[in-house]
Amino acid sequence: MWKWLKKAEDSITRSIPAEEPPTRVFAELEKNILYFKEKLGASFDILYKQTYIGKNKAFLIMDDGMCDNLLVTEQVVAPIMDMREMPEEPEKQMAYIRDRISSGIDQKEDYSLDDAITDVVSGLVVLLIDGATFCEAFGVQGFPKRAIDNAQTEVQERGAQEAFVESFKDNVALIRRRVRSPVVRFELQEVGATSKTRVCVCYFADRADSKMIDEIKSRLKKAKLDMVLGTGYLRPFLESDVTSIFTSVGTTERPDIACAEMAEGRAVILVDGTPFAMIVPYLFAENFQSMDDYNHRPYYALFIRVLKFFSFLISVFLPGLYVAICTFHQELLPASMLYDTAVQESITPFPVMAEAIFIHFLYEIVREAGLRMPKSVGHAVSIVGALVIGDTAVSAGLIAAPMLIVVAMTAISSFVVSKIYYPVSILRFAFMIIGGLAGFYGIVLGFGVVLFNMCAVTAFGTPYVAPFAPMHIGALWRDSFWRLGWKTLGKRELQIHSLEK
Amino acid sequence: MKGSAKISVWQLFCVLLLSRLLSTLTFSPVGAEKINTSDYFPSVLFAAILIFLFSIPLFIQKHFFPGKDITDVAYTVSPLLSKASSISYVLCFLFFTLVSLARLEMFVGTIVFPNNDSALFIILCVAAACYAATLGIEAIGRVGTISLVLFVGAFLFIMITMADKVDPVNLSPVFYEGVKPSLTAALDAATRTGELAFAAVLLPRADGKMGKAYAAGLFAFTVCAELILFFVFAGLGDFALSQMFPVHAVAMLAEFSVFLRFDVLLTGAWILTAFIKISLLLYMQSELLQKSFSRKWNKLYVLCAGLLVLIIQVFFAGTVSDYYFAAGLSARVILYIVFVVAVPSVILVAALMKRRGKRAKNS
Amino acid sequence: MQKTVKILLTVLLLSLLLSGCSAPGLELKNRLIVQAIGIDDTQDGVRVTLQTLNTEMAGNPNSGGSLGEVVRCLTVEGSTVSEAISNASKSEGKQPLLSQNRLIVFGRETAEHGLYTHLDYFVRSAEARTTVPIAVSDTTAEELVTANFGENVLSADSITDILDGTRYNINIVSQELYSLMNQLSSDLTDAHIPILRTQKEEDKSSISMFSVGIFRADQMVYELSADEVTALMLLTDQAKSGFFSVENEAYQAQTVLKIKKTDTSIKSEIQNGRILFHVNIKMTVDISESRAEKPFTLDEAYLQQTEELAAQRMEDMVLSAVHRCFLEQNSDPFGFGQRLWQRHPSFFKANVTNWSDTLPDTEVDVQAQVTVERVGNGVENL
Repeated sequence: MWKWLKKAEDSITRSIPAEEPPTRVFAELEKNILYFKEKLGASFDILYKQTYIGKNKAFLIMDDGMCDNLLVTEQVVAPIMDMREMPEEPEKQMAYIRDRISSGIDQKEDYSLDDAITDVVSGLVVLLIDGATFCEAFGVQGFPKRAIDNAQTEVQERGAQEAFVESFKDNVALIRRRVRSPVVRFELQEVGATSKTRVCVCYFADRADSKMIDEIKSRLKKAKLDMVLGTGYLRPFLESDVTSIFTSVGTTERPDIACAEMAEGRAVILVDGTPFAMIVPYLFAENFQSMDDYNHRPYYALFIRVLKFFSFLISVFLPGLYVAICTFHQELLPASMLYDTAVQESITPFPVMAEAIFIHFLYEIVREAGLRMPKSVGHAVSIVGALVIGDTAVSAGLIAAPMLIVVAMTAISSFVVSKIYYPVSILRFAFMIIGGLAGFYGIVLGFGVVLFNMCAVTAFGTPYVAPFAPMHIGALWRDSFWRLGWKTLGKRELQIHSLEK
Repeated sequence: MKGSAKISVWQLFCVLLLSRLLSTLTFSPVGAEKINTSDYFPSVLFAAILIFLFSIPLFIQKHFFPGKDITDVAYTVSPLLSKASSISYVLCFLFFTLVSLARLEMFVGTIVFPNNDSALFIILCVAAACYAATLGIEAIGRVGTISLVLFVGAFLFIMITMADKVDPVNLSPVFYEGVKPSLTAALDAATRTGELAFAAVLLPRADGKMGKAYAAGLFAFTVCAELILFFVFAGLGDFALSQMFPVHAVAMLAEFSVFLRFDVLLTGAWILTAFIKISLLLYMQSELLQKSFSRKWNKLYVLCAGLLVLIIQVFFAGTVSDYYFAAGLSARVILYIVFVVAVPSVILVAALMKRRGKRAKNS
Repeated sequence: MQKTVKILLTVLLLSLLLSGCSAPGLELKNRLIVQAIGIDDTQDGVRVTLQTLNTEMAGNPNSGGSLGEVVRCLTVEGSTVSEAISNASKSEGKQPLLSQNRLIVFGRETAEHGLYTHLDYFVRSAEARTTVPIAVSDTTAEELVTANFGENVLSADSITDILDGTRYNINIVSQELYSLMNQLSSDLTDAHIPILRTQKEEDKSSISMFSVGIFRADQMVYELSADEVTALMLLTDQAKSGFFSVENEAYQAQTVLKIKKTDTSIKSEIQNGRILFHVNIKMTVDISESRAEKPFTLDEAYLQQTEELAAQRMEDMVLSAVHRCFLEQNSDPFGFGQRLWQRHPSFFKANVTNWSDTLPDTEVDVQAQVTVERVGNGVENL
C-alpha cells in the first residue's frame, strides 16, 4: 500500500537534482559569459557591462534589483573606469583592482562560475577579465528590505521593541549590538538546492558545546531541500528523532531572547528571508518564560509563570474535562453548578461532545478568518463571530451557556501561552474526543501518553522536560517557575548541557 | 528503543517507589488477612524490615556484579541458565502485569465506570502502555519522577482537606490480638509486588550510587504508607475494612468549599500510576526477550506481551485476580520468595562460586 | 511493515471507540438528579421517596422560558432499596443520579425495625457519597422528604442546613453515613441519628430538630431529651458553639451564655478492678443576655457565681444523661467503651465480654470548668 502511495506521489514530483560538480572559471571570457547567459537565461534584471581594462576585455555583471546602483557606480564602476596605471596580466589586474582600486571592504574571489552566479543573484557585482581564471565579486547589495519593527508575535511590556527582519545580516547586527564580545560566532551555510538560502548558526564559543554545533551544522548540511523559505522547512531536520506534538526547536522574533538563549549555551539559527530565528535545544519549560519575567521582580515573575502554566492546563484540558464530567462523571460537578448545567444542557439537541467539538471548531474558523482577513474587514469578523457564537447560538438553543463559558475561557487561556498554541489546539480536540468516549479515565491515560511522549524527547542531549525530569533541584531553584533575583542569577550563567541526564 | 539508554538511580527508585505505592493505594481487604486497624501501622514497619532483608541479593548483585542484571550474572554461569532465568522473569513480570491490570480493571469497573463494560478501558490502557514501553527506560524514568510529584501532591491535598474528619478515637488498640496479625500483614504487604525483581533487571540501566537512593526510597515508602493508612483508619475507622478500596473511600471524605468529592484526584493518580507500572513491566519483558532472542524485534516483543496480557485479561478476567487472592497468603509469599529471593540468590551464589573457581584456577 | 501494523492498530482502536462498542455515557439530560431519599418499610418490601431536581424546561430559559417547580417528588416501591430506586426509571425514563444526594431519611418505624438491610445499598454503591447526612423522621420518611417549604425552595437544602446547624447549636446533632456505619458495626458505641419533625402550616411545612434516636445494633431503642442531646454533644466533643442559660437565684437573674470554645477530655482508669471514667469539660463562654427583675452591675462576684452555676449545670446535665443511658438503657452512645478499649486493652480483653452489661458497674466522674470571657457591650443588665 505504501509503495502505491509512494508511486502516486512520485508521479507528480521530481527528485531534487544532485549537486553538480562546480564549473571552474574559464580563462576565456566569452566562455564565461556564455555560461552565465546559459544559466541565467534572458532575465531582464541581469545586466552585463562590457569594458576594457588596459588591453584586456572585461565584463561587469550585476543584478539590477539587488544592487545599490550608487554603490555600484562609486565603489566599482567609476574607480575601474578611472584607472590609469595598471598591470597588464589579467590576474594581476584583478588583484590590483581588488587591493587598490575598489573602495569597498566586502570583496571576495570566486574560482567557480556557480559561486559567481550565486553572488550575482545575491546582489554582488562580479568582474570577469579575459584571461583570468577567477573573478572578483564586490558587495554592493541594495535590495529592498523591511525596516526594523516591533515584534508581532512576542509582545513584551518592558523588553526591547526591536524584532528580527528578513535580512539575516541585519539580524546579525541586532545580535552584535547586544553582545559586543568576541565570543559570539556566526557561521554561514547554504541550504536548498535551488534557493541556496543562507543559514547562519550563531552561538557563544565559550559556552556552546562544540559537538552540538557540529551536529547542527551536519544536520543542516544533510537537509535535502530544494527551496528553503522559512524556518519551518529546516525544523524537522533539527528536531529529536522521537515524533512529538511539541517541538524541541524553539523560535523567536526577538534579538534579546536570542542573546539570552545563546548565553545559556544554546545555538540560534538565522535563516535568510525569515524574521524568525530557531533556538536549539529548546525546553518545554521555556514556553512559559518570557523576557518580561527577567525585567519584573521575581515574585511577579513567579505569579505570571504559574498563571501561564495554569492557562496551558485550562486550554488543553478544560473542554475535555467538561465533556467527560457531563457525560460520565456528573458527581464531580458541585451541587450549585449542577442544576444550572443540567437545565442548560437539557435544551440543546446535541450530545455534549458533539457540541464541544462543533463550537471549538467554529471558534477556530473565526480565529483563522480573523488572522487571514484584511484588516479593513477584521471588525466585521469579530462582530459576526461574537454574535453568531455568543448570543445567537445560545438563544437558539444550539449550545448551552456553560459550554460558551468553557470556550471563552479556553480561547483566552490559549493565547496566554501563544508559543504552543498550535499543539494545544490539536490536543484540545483530542482530549474532547477522549473525554466524550472514555471519560476521565481516558483523559488521564491521554495525559499519560502525552507526558511519555514529551519525556521521550531529547534535544541535542538535553531532555525536553528538563529541569523537571530528570529533576535538577539547582535548576528548579534557580529559574523554573520561580527565578532568583538578578543579584544571585547574574553571578553565574546556566549551562544547558548540565541538564543532560 | 534505546538499548544503551541510562537513567539515574534516583529516577529508578522514583519509579519503583511509585509502583510500590500503587499497591498501598490499591489496598483492598479482599483476599487480605483481617486484622484490627491499628495493627496495620506496625505492619508497615515490619514490612520495611522484611523488604530490606529481601534486598540482600540485590546488594550482592550490585556489589559483586556492577553493571550486570540478574540474567547477565546467570550468563557468567551458563548461557542456558541465562536464557532460562530470562524466560522465567518474563513470565513473572507477565504475571505481575496481569495482576496490576486486573486490579485496575476491578477499580474501573467498580468505581469509575460501574455502568459500563470495562473491556474497552483495559484495551485503551494496554494500547497506551505498549506505546509508552517502546519509548524506553529514559521516558519511563522521567515520567516516573514527574508522576511521583503529582502523586504526592494529590495525596497531600486529599489529606489536608479531610484532616478535619480524622479522629484517633476510631483506631483500635495496637497489638490487641498480639503481634502475629501485624507480622502476617507485614508479610502480605512486603510480598504484594515485586519491585526488587524489577530492580534486579533494571540495575545496569541506572547510573549512580544505589545506597542513598535505596534508603530514601524505602524510607519514603514507609512514611507514605503509614500516612495513608493513618488517614484511612483514623478517618473511616472499621468502616474502611468493609469497603472494596478503603483509600478511595477516604478520599471521598475530602471536601473543600463547594467541591464535595476529591476522590477524582486519587482516581487520576491511580490510573496514571497503574499505567506507568504496566508500561515498565512491558518494557522489562521486552528487554529480557531481546537478550534471549533477537534484538531486532524490540517493538514486536512489547506488542506480543501487550496482546497476551490483553487476551488473558479480557477473556479469562476472573481467573487471574481470583488466583492471586484466593490462593491465599502462603501461595503469594512462595511466589514472591521464589522469584525475588530464591532464584537471584541461587544465580548469585553459582556465579560467585564459578568466579572463585576461575580465580583459583588462574592463580 | 511497522507502519502498516501501526495504521491497522489505530484503525482498529478508532473503530472500536467510535462504534457502539464505545462506553455509552449518560448525559445530564438522561439523569434523574436525586437530592433526598426517604425510606419506609412496607409489608412487601420498601417504599422509597425520591426528591429530584426538575431540569425539564418549558422553553429556552435564555429566551424567557419558565422552569416550573424546582423540585419533584417521586414515590416508588420495591422489595429492596435498589429495586425501588431502579423502578424510578420506569416512570421517569431516566437513570437516577445518586452522587448529588444530600440526605437519607428513614421513617421512625423503619428505624425501629432495623437499618442494615437498607444501608447496604448506599455503602455498596459507587455513586453514593459516604458523607451524606442521615436523619430519622418523626413520622414517615415520605412526609419529611415531600415537605413543601414554599415555591422554588429545595427542601433537601433546607433540611441539610438545619443539620449543619450543629456548628453553632449544641442541641443539633448531625450524623453522616460513614460515621453511622462505624457506630452500627461497633460492639461498644451505640449509634445515634437525629430525629426531625415536620410541622404543617397551611400549605407550607417546616422542619425542626426533635430529638436524637439511639440505636442498639441497627434498631432504634430510645430517644434523648434536649439536655441529653447537649450532654451527647459535650461528651463527643462536638459542642463548639451554642447557647444555654443558668438561673441565678441570688441575683434573681437568668443569664444566657454563648459557648465559644469547649474542650472535653475523657480518661479511663481502672481502680481495684472497677472502671472509672474522668470527664473533664473546659468551656469558654460569653454572656449573651442577662435578664433580672432589678438591674445590677455585672461584677466579679456575679461572674464567678455564673461560672460556678454554669459548671454545675454542665455536670448535672452530663451525669443525668450518663445515668439514664448507662443504668436505665444499658447503652453507651458517648464512646466511653471505645476509649476504655483503646487505653486498657488487656483489662478489657480479660474482663469485658459484653460492654453493655458492664455499663451499670462503671463510675463516671464529671468535672466542668466554665470561664466567662466577655460580657458584651453592656456592663449592666436591663
